[in-house]
Amino acid sequence: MSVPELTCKELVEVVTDYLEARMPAEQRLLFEEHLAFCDWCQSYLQQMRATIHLTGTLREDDLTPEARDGLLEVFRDWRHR
Amino acid sequence: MTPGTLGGTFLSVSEQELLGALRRGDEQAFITLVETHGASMLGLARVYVRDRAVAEEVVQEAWLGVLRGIQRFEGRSSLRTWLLRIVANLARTRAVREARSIPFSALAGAELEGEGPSVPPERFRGPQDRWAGHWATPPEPWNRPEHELLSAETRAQIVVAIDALPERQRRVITLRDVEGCSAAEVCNVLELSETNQRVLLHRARTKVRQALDDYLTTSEHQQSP
Amino acid sequence: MEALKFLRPGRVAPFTGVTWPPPGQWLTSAAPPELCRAGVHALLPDGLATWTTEELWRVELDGARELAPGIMVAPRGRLLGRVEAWNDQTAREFARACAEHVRDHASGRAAEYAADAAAAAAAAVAGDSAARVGYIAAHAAEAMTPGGFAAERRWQSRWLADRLGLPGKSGPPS
Repeated sequence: MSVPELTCKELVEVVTDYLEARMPAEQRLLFEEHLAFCDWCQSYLQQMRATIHLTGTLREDDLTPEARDGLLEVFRDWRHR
Repeated sequence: MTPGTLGGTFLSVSEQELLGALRRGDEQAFITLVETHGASMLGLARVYVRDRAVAEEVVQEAWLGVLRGIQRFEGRSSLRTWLLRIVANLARTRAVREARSIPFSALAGAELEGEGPSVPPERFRGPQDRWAGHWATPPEPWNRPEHELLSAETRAQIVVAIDALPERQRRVITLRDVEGCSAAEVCNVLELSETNQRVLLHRARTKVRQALDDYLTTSEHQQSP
Repeated sequence: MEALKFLRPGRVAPFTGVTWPPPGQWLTSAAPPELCRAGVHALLPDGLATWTTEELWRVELDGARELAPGIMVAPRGRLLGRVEAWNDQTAREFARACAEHVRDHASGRAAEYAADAAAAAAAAVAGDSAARVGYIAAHAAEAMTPGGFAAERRWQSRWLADRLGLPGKSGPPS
C-alpha cells in the first residue's frame, strides 16, 4: 500500500514498544494516527493497559513475621561475629 | 578491611547513610533495608523457585550474602540492582538443584524464535480485502466495573496465565509488571538485552491479556449490574 | 505560537489520558520533546482532519517545532479556549462532507471505499466517530488517484478550518 500507515495487525505487534516509550517518533505518529479513527485498536490498547495495571495488584507486599524474625537472627549472628 | 567508598552516583544520600549505618551494625538500618527491598527480593526468588518456603530460604541466604559483602560494595550499581542480583544468582542455583524449573542454559534462544504473531492472523482481514490487516473480529470492550476487575476470581486468571507462560516470559513479566522493577533492572538481573527483554515482555503481556479477554467476554462470567 | 488540539471530554488527552489544566495554566512535558513519548503535541489547521475527537481547543505552544506536516511539538503548552463551533453536529456535517466528496467518479475498489464512507457517515454521531469517515474517504481518493490520500486529507482539513472559522493556509479550492 502506498499510504504510509499501520494496520491493526501491525499495531498489536508494536503496542509494547509504544507503552514502553521505545518507539521511533515517525512510527509513533503513525500509531496515534491509527488510534485516532480505530475504536477497536483503542479498545485493545486500553485492555493492554488494564492488564498491566491488574497484574501489578498481584504483588505480595509483606514478609511473614517468621521470615522477618529469621532475618533479624541472621543479622544479629553476623553482627556478633 | 577498609570499607569501599560509597561514592558511586547510583546511590542517593539517604542510601549512603543507610549503608554506612548498616556497616556499623545498626539493626534499624537493616530493618529499613528489609522493609524497602525484601518484598521485591522475595518476588524475584519466586520467579525461579515457585515454592514460597524455599524462596524465603533463598532470600535469607541472600541477606547473609549482602551483610558479608557490605564492606566491599562501592555503589557502582544501584543498591536495589545489587540486592536483586545477589538473589537472582542464589535463586538460579537453588532452582537447578531443586529441579523445579528448566535449567537456564536450556532456554537460550528458544523463546525468542518460533513464536508467531501476537494475535491469531484469522482475527484480521486477509491480503485481498480492501481493508487488509484491519480487524475482522475486533476485540470486545470489557466494560466491567473496577471492583470486578480487581476481584480475586479475575486476578486468579492472571496468576494462572502467568504460571503457564514459557519460563523467560514468566520471569520478565513477573519482575516488570508484578514486582514493578524497571526495564534496566530486569535486563541487569536476568542478563537480557533491552530488546530481548521487551520482546519477552510483549509476548507475555499479550498472552495474559488474551487470557483475561477469554475470561471476561464469556457470558457466564458476566454478573448482572 | 497558536495551534489547535483535540481532546476527549473533560480536557483529557486522547492518547496519554492526561487531563489538561484549565485554560491559561501551562502543561509542561517532563522529558525533552525529541523523545518519542514526550512533548506537547498540537495541530495546525492543515493537519486538523486526522485527529478529531469530541472537544477542539485553541492552544498556545512555547518553543514549538514541526514534527510532521501540520503537527507541532513543544516542551509546554496551555489551552486558550474551546472552539465552540466544533460539536457533535458539525462533526456529523464533517462526516457527511467527507463521504460526499468521494462519492462521484468512483468506480471499482474506489466505489467500495466510497460506500464504506457513506455507511460510516450515516452512523457517525460525534467527533470521534467522524474521524473514521475521513480516513475511509481518503482511502477512496487514493484508490482513484495515487497520492489521493494525502490530498484528500488536506481537503478535509481545509473544509474543517473553513467551517469552524479558523485561519488556515489558503490553497486552490477542489
